[in-house]
Amino acid sequence: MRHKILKAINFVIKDFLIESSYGFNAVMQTLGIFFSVFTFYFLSKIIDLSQTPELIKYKEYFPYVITGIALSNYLSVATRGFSQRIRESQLTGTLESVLICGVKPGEFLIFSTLYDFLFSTLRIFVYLIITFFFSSGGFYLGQLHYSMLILSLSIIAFSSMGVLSAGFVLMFKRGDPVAIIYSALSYLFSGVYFPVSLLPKPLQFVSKILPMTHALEGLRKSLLTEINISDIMPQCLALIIFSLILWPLSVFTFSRAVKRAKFDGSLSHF
Amino acid sequence: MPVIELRNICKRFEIKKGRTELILHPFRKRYKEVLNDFSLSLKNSGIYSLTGPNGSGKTTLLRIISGILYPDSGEVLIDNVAFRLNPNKVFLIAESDKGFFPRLTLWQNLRFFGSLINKDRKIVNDKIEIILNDFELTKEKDTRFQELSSGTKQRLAIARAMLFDPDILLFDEITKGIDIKQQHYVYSLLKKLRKAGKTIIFATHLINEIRDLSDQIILINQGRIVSIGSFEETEKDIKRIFEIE
Repeated sequence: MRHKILKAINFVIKDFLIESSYGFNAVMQTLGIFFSVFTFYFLSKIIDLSQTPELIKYKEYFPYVITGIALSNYLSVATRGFSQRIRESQLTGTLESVLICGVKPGEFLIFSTLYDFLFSTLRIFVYLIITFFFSSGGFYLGQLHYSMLILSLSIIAFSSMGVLSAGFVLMFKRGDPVAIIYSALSYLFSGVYFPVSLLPKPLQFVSKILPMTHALEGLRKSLLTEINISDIMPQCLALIIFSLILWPLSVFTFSRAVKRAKFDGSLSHF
Repeated sequence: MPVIELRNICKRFEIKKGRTELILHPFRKRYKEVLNDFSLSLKNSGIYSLTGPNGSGKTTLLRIISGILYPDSGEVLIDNVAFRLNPNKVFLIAESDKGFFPRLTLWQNLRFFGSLINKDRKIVNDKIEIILNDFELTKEKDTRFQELSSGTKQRLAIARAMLFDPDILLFDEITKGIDIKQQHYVYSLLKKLRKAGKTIIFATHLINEIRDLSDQIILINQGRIVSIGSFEETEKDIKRIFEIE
């Protein structure tokens, strides 16, 4: 177990060294957060909450939309990060060379995206810190442990789609429809920018079957309203159910894809 | 007890269909037989050159022995035990231009791969220092992989294998594209490894490598062994297969 943890740390160090070799890339990405936050800060000033009663409990539109954008960072890393890392490693030939060095395909997949998740977590905190200072209502900081619970369950639920998508890239190399469709549906139907209740009734059903909807609802409740643990239980339960259904499916698909690639010799093809 | 034993290995690859065939026969599959009931037993350590025309199955054979490619049927035994991918036993060295992180330095690359096998940072670092010296890579240790010359990349690929100290090393045309000086450097490394008791199988087309380096030559064609033995024993078949006058 200790060796596995050390391996994971070495993957993170390796990815940090690669990212930092690109000079200002990480700095520019972080600076980009300020632009996005201030755009929504000023936009929120023209939104009248009395027109959308669903938002009144959150007091302001600004923190509502920023929590949506912040969480969509995780969604993006979880759904696209795994397949992107697989594709990059196919292009550089490192997938095969790392596997030859005794790393299991599943380990490779998880360790390769750890850095992205850590960097995304940092970005989320930057989003929330800026919002904390610029929103009048502020956050319920005493409930941060609830937010962390929701974030952890969200990573697990979102990642299952990412692993599924990585299996697809291993088999078909490009075009990954899982990530594209899933991300598009999540951005539109899960309430990143506007409450789900504004959608027509039949479309609200679509939002219910997306983990992002429940993750966002849980995160907003824990950050923006005063609650106790029972208030976010339905969201936690939904995320657990999604994970229990999607993880076995995605692990099965990914291991089938690896096995097939090892049979047809396409592990390093791209 | 054989060091490596291959029993009845069969491998075929599906031939990708063209557009017309995809429309006319969407469900028909065609295959290319690469290895056909291939059996081989290597009893002693030493240098074995694996040669044969392009497409004869050399690379496929090496990849199957390394464990990165599964055979359709048959089995690979290392020291009489069915083999599963294990870099401490068998290590494949191929395509030195790929398989490393282009933005990391030579040292950072070795450090990363070394950390995959050993959890003690100090042991890994000490081993890297020794390998850098042995392979004359110290001067380039802070150069990014993408900026290294082909010859240095080749030495680095062998150096990485030595981090794992495997019993069996498989080389796939490792002297392709490097200058004569670097080629001779690689030859001397192979001889050193032989002296250290390693088993080396290297795929090559070059007649001087086949003649001067090999203890045994394995000549294959169309997925089958044509002949196996010393250069003198196989020379006639080599000339016939490669159509050399």
